Amino acid sequence: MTQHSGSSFGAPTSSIPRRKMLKFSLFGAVGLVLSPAALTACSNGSKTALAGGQEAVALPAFAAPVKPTPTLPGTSDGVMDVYASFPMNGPVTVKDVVGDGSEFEFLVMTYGQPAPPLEENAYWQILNKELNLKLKPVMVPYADFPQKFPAMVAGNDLPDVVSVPVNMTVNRLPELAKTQFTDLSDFISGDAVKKYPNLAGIPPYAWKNGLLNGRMYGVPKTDPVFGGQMYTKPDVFEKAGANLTPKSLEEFEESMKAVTDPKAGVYALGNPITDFILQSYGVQNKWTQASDGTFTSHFESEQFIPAIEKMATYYKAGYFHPDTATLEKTRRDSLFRTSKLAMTYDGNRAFGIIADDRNLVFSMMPSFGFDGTATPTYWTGKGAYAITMLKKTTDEKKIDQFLKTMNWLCAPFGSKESFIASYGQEGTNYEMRDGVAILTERGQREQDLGFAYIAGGPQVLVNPQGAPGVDAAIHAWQTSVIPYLAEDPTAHLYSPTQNSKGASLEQGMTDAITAVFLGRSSSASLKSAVSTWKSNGGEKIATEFAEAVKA
Amino acid sequence: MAIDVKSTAPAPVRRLSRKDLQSGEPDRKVPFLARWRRDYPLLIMVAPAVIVLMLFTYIPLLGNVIAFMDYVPFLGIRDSEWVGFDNFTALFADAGFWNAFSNTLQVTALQLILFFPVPIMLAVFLNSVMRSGVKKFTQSVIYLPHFLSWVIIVALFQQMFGGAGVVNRFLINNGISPLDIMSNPETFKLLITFQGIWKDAGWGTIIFLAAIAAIDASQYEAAAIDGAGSFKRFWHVTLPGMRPIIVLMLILRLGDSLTVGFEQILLQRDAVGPGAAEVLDTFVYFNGVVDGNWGAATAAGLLKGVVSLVLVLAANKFAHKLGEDGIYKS
Amino acid sequence: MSRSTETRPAWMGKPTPFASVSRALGIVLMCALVIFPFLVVVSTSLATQTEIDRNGGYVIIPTEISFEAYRQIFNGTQVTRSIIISVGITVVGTLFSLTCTVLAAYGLSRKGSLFQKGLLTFVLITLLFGPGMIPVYLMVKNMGMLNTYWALIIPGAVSAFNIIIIRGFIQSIPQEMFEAARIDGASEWRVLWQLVIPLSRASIAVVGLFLAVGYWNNYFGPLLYLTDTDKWPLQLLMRSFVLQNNISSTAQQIPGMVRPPQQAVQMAFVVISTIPILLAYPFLTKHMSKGMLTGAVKG
Repeated sequence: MTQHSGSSFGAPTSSIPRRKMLKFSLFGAVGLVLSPAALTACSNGSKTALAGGQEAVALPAFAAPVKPTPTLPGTSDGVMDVYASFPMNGPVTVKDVVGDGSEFEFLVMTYGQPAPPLEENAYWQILNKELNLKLKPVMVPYADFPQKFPAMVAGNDLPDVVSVPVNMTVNRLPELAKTQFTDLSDFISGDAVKKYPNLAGIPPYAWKNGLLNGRMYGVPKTDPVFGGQMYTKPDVFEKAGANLTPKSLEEFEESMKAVTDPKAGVYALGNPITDFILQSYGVQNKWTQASDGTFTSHFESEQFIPAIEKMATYYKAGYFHPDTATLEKTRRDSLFRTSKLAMTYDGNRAFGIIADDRNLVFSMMPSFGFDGTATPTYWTGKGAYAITMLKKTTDEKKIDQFLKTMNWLCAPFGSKESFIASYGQEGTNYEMRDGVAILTERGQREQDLGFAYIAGGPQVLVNPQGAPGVDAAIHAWQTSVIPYLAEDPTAHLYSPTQNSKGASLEQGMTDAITAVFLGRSSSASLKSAVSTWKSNGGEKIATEFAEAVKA
Repeated sequence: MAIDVKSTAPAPVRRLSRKDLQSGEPDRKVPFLARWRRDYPLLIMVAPAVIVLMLFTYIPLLGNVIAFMDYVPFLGIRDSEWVGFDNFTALFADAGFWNAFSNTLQVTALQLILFFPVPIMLAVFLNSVMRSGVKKFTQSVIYLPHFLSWVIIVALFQQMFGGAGVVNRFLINNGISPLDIMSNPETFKLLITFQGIWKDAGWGTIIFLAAIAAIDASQYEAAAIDGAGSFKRFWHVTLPGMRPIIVLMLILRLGDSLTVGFEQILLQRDAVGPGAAEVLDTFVYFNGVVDGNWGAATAAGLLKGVVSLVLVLAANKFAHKLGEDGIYKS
Repeated sequence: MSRSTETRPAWMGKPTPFASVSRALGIVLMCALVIFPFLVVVSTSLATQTEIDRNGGYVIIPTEISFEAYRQIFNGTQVTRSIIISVGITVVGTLFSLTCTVLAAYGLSRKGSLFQKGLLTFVLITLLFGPGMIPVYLMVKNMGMLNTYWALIIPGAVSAFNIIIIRGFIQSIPQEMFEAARIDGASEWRVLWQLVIPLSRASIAVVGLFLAVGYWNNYFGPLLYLTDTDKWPLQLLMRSFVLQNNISSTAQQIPGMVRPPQQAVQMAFVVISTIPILLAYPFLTKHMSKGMLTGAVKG
């Protein structure tokens, strides 16, 4: 009550995540080609329209890179290649020296501790040597990004290279890019990208994230197409005699009922599963575009309220952990690991956390239709984690060096460059065990430099330290959901209202959903929440999306 | 004013008649020059604080004009659009804002009634402990929770009192229906008040212990000689001795009325929903900071300042009625 | 001289055995309420991950002690350096800030002194209206303090709250003592040094503690003003550890650098960051002994 000293800053500071996250499986890779919709929309040379009438520049031409033979091959739909381990002695894809020895300062959002200083950091040192650059990270913890970034923008203090996660709302990003960052279109659009062969290996669906105002501003860090998934603990299901692969919500509920045992402190779930249930109802990914070009939000779909009602009945029946509303991820993961939670709904890289653990056996629940016959959907992500931009400059040498650095970073899986970016230096960062490179504790720690997260091509599945068969299981699951992939048609459209009010509008809906889910409000309240959402900006957002497509 | 203070420091002139200028003397009768000679050292003393406040509070305060703008960081104040009172009218038109406002005042009221007296009572209690070893130990232990971050405290509370916590697991296993402690909207404000007491009451005693320490010990002696028992001594010596500081702390707390446990509430808000848990700071966070809507966030800050001003002035006036100086007396 | 004072009216006079017992009970209960969570924090920092998982996140008494978390933290120079930085900022910041605060508090304490009213208002307004983050950032930048430790020390050094508190204590010193000193011909500086500071020791110590804790715990200033991670103080490092793992996740995908949650390491960080504050406390209590005023008046 009386503590009151030190700093005097106006805005409240927060420890709270804007959003969600996961772990990685960080290897840049080959093979993965675009989901079907992405293919048709923007394969080589196609044009994307933009607001304001003029045409967008062509996305960089895609040229599939050479890849080592996978243990289990992926598909062009998005199933990832599986490798037993990282191939040693891969080909060199970048022959020229990348840098001129100058400083390469980059802003990167982090989820962990900052990397150890250069003089103690073998990984950093080897990257500096390989690239002939002086890498200098400017780290912003994710929770503080919404505050630090605007301050740096206002003070004109952004470093030369800025990496922005695509799910962070950056105030008026297109305008910001126009005034602050370099338009890379002339250097990478269409066939120009051939000068940087590894950049040509980035699929168009990832490049779309770097397209602002119809021009190319950012180089993406490619993400798999998969969004959230339902992770399960087979041991809990087995013990309860529950069905691991239910075919309808009814069967799903039976499984939840079977695994829940409050006396033992075991619950089916520890986080809300709104999206999972909506998908079982076949609801489209966030927005649906009608044939007349208008957009409708999933909040307005007729299945929305029944889906939330369904979830509320599950909560009422006691299948959810009682602290679900406020359970932190750390604790939820811990409960899942120790079989106190039978399932957890998490992002597509959550397996990265657990796939490293040989003793942890988990699986994933395939998609199913709510009544056992309906076709479900499976919602994809944006295709990239972040885009990396270069501060405004006309110095072509500088632009070239930036793109060469990105080119090095986007070297395909299996190449010497991607091996160094993933493993660093032998002896200190990794050790060889049975011909397989294994990151040491120090190696893992030094990766916190964040450099490998600012750009990259498609990723692959390679978890040599995970439980046997884990990658194959993920591969099988990915194959199973491919038929249901549903893209968000607005993923790469810009709406000023979405940008300025989207987060608070969504918070309002989240609050309304939570209230019904926890049984505080009747499901009728959702109707008024949706109409508030619409009148406060939802309607305008829909109009703006429609205009963005039409123009 | 600040310039006067720092730039003018003439060589000291002999203090001619300091005796005549003592506090009893009504100031307006004293000529300016004499007051200057008498008081310039005081002005020099205030100077460093004034300079720091000028540079890092007052000049940046000019930036609060963005309350009347649609401020965009990369455009800066110069090129952002003026919107007049739009940010304020938008706040006033938002039912969520009034809900947050009302919740904030309710939490403050609860804290004033339940929390505010606790450190005072604790300080008096600790002071009554005779053994200095025990006393020192207790003192240094009870202020510890202040240093745990809310993330950890909330997690510990959940572990103990949550729906699957130690207490409820015990109840369930004994066939008793579990208690809804952590996610009951009705009692949420009480919950966070008690969490606050647990975390910060010990820390809050420090200032009151200092107040007790500053009491002239000879007064106790005199009271004891007059035959006052321990309670009388508390009532007639300790309490009046602490009173100025208690009043001061109360006014300062009132000035902070619209600021209640941002992080603590944000972490637990989802368990009970915004209806019961949204306070001004979390509201501003969701509607200003997260959206990058700096103009609205600043407008809310200005409103808070105005409300605080009114509360502080009122409390100060009340303090004068009680015969205390409060924080300001002309 | 007995100074035992009771809290409850019913127990006037000598403390009864019942009163003593309840007082002892009160102390034990209070300490237990506070120590228990700390025990949990310390125990968890010393437990193995398996045991932490088995207990659902926290451990009360570890069956097997492991210093692994501490080894990990002190592996390399990062944390050690950040502790030194934090101590440096705290010491320099507290001294600077306390100097400004005490000077201003005394300078504003005498009623009717020149400009007193105006200056006091000037200070009090900052209690109610604060500048936004971005304007302060721009000012710090314009002063050339960006990426220096001064940015953490100076901008927040003066708080009206602290000035008002010390001023309140100074004003409770009996007026006659000031008058006596001034009649003796003491300058304001001497009055401050020889009368005010010794008599307000307790309050200065308290405010000093507030300030020290404020500097010690400040993570937002470093976050905003320091671009070199090598310059990060302990609290910011700790924040990246303790908070970063607490991210709620659903469908969104972000490749993080998050390894399995290391609860033990987080708790060890808490322990490490609390110890220096514990060490500071005895300095404070030394200045809070009672009866200072008696001596002063008599002497």
